[in-house]
Amino acid sequence: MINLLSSYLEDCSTPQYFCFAIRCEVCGEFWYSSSVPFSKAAQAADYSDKKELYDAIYQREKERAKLAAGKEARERFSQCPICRRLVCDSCFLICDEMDLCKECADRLKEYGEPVVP
Amino acid sequence: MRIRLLSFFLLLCLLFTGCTAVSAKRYLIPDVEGSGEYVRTLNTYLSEYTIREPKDTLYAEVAKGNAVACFDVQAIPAINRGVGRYWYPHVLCTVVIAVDRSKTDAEVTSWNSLMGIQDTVGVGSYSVIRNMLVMGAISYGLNQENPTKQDALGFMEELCKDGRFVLEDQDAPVLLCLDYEAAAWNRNGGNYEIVVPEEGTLSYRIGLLSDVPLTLESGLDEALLAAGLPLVSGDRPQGFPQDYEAAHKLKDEDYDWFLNLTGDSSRDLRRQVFHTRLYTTADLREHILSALLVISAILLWKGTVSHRMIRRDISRIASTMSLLMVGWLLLRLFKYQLTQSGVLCRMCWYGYYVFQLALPITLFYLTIILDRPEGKIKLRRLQWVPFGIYVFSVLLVMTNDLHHMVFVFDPKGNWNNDYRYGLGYWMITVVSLLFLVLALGRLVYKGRMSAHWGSKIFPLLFCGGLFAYVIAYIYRVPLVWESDLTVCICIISVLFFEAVLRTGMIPINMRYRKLFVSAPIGLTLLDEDGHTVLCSRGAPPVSYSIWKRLVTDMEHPLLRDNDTQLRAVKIHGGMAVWQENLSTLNRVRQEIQSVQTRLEAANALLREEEEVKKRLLTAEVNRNLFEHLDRDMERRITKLAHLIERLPEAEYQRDLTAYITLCLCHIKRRCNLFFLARQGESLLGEELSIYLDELTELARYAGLKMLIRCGQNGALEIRSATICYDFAFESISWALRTNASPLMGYLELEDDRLLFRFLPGSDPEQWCFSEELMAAVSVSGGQIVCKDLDDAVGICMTLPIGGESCG
Repeated sequence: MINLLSSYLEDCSTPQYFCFAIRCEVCGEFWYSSSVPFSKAAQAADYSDKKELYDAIYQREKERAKLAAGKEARERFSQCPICRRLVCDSCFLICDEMDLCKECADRLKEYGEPVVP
Repeated sequence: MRIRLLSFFLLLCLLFTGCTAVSAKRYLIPDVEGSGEYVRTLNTYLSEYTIREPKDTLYAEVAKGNAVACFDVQAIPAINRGVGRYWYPHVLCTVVIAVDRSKTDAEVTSWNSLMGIQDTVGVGSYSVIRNMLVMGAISYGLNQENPTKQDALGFMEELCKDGRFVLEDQDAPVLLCLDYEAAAWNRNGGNYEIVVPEEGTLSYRIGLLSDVPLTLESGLDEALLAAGLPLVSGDRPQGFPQDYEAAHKLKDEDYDWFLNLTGDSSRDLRRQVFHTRLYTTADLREHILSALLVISAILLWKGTVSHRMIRRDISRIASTMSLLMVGWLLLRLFKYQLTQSGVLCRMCWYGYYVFQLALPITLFYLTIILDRPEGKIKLRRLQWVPFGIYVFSVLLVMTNDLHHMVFVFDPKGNWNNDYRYGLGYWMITVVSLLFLVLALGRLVYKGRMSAHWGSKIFPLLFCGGLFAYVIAYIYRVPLVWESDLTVCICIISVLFFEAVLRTGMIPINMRYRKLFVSAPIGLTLLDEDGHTVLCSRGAPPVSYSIWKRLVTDMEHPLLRDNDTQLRAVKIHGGMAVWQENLSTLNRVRQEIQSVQTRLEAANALLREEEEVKKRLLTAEVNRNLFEHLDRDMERRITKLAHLIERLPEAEYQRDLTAYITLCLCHIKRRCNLFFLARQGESLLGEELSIYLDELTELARYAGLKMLIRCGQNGALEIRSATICYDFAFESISWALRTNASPLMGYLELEDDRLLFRFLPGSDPEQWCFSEELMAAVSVSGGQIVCKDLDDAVGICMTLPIGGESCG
């Protein structure tokens, strides 16, 4: 699931912090991961001669942040077992038989409560 | 942080104040009015105690280890509630009717007999406990089985109807008092008849309440009797009535109903008997409760004002005004707690003006900053002048004890109620009112453009009410004089300020919710925790993850979904987030992309069409070209084919072959010239010379001796060159047919024309050229003639020069 989520993560990072987003495929709303500041943001801005070094650190920290974002997203996104789409907790219903996304539940006439109302 | 430190400091002060060490010295406190003689007598038998006036409440004095002289109705309930452990009753006093026989002859034997007399009935004291004792006695007397407060109040109200009932009046002909007091008056020369009411009355015990056991030396009873005080045992000195049968001595089980019955006696006396203080607080408890209620209301109002205010500086001033009112009320509350009217009490009274005088000046300052942008106020002079006046006014009041210019009274007398206003008071009052009028004037002036009539009426109404109230209080109009000045001024001030806010004289946030509901923009205000405070209609809620991302970085916008972009800006206490609808932009972009795609496809199609057309055109051109070429060459090729067919049977095959070669060469060069003509290019004279030499060479193979000289250099128009070349070829062909060898040819430029002359070896009159050549020469404006050429007859073609001239 984390791998799946990681593949869906959109990079919204800046030179100052790392942030990733996932778009719910039902409601279309973006979810943003907690921003993680780049530990060397100030130094990277000051010492352009060490750009290569700071770029490497940036990439390493970005990978970690992406992993953390994937874990964070796992708490808020689910994959619909019918349509296989990634949906947010507001669009994912807990139904009697099987938990489904809103649209599939409507289509299959299943009733349920959203994970997050 | 400073506020927390200050609060902590105040808390410590309060704690340490409560932890003062118990004084080793013990005092004998006469708490009961008229118990001075009793205490003085006791003091002889309590040598380690010193007599002192009460500085605090009865219960506080007991807690300090002092012995307090009080009634049993005070002591027994106190002991039951854990205040005081030892009770020593000594004196038994009874509520009686004392009739001054020097003033009236009215027959008084009972409570009800008071209704039938014309004389004024008074209570000698105004203290709460004495009122309670009298009320309890009357209630008991009127209904011994089931005494009620209402009976006593009704009785006194009935007396009061004709103005025959007064409090705190010892000169009344009939007094409701304690028997030992009346006996003392008689001993001092009075002529009072002491009447124990027939219906019944109550006897109370006076004694000492203490936290520590007291050791009283023997002989106290005798001393008390000698001092004119009746004993608990029932022994009474001379001068007391003999019959006390109707008097009921309170027992332990009686105190509860007594306290229930006599509770709130001051309030009930004022309201139900004297019909005063109907619309204001009537006793200490109501004073305190009303003050606390008003404080709570002001603080609540302050909170709403701070919440409603747009500008922080105005909000701060409104908060300051609220705190001034709260401070004033708290100081008044503190003053209520003081049991003695000493210097501290007076300083508290003066201290009211610290807050009271600051209110109009603060309001005035508020009106000054109101019409200026926040943070851009430079009003030093305007700030300092009112502040200086305020400080001077406060100093004038606080130093009143030194000069008595503000309040004129006798410090040793009852200054609490008996005082007059001095010049200083009028000065500070006028200055305060002046600031208030100025502030009001500015507010009204600001609101003059408002069409809302309430914006002028209500503030003026409340302000007028405030003026009227203050003036009535100064002139001691009873209704106003009895009211609580502080509470009333605070309430009117708050109402005034609220009216000013409501009518829009001071800008507030009141209609923000309505504005947000009506706003078409997607704007949301979030607090510091990300909770939505205000949200415009249609703006979807901002999720927690989006809020967190915005908190991290407000500079960069972010997408809520594909059609909504969020931007945020930090505001005081949170952030403002507005949403831009990108759906139109996205739709336009998609349309542009769609149009672009369609255009690209159309362009590709057009390109392909163009290529096809180009190819078709090229093919058509080629076809036309070759058709033209075919048409042009058809006769020559036919003739050539005919010659080639004749070749095997020809007599002079060599010559014919050479001629066929000549024709082939002519056709080839003619094709070259054809294409050059199509390309629009010119032909150099030198190249034409080569062509002609080539023909000459081949003609020689055919047996014709000939020479052609080309005197033309430079470029020739291709059409002229072609005609010249054709003329040369046809001349050679004619010469070969007619065996006109030798043949001399010369091409030259003469004036503005080309002259191409041939001098044949035979008669040139028989020359014959093709119609095509003749037509081409004619069309070009030239001619072919047979003429005399250097003493011989030759063929001459003249052509007007076209194309580039070589000069």
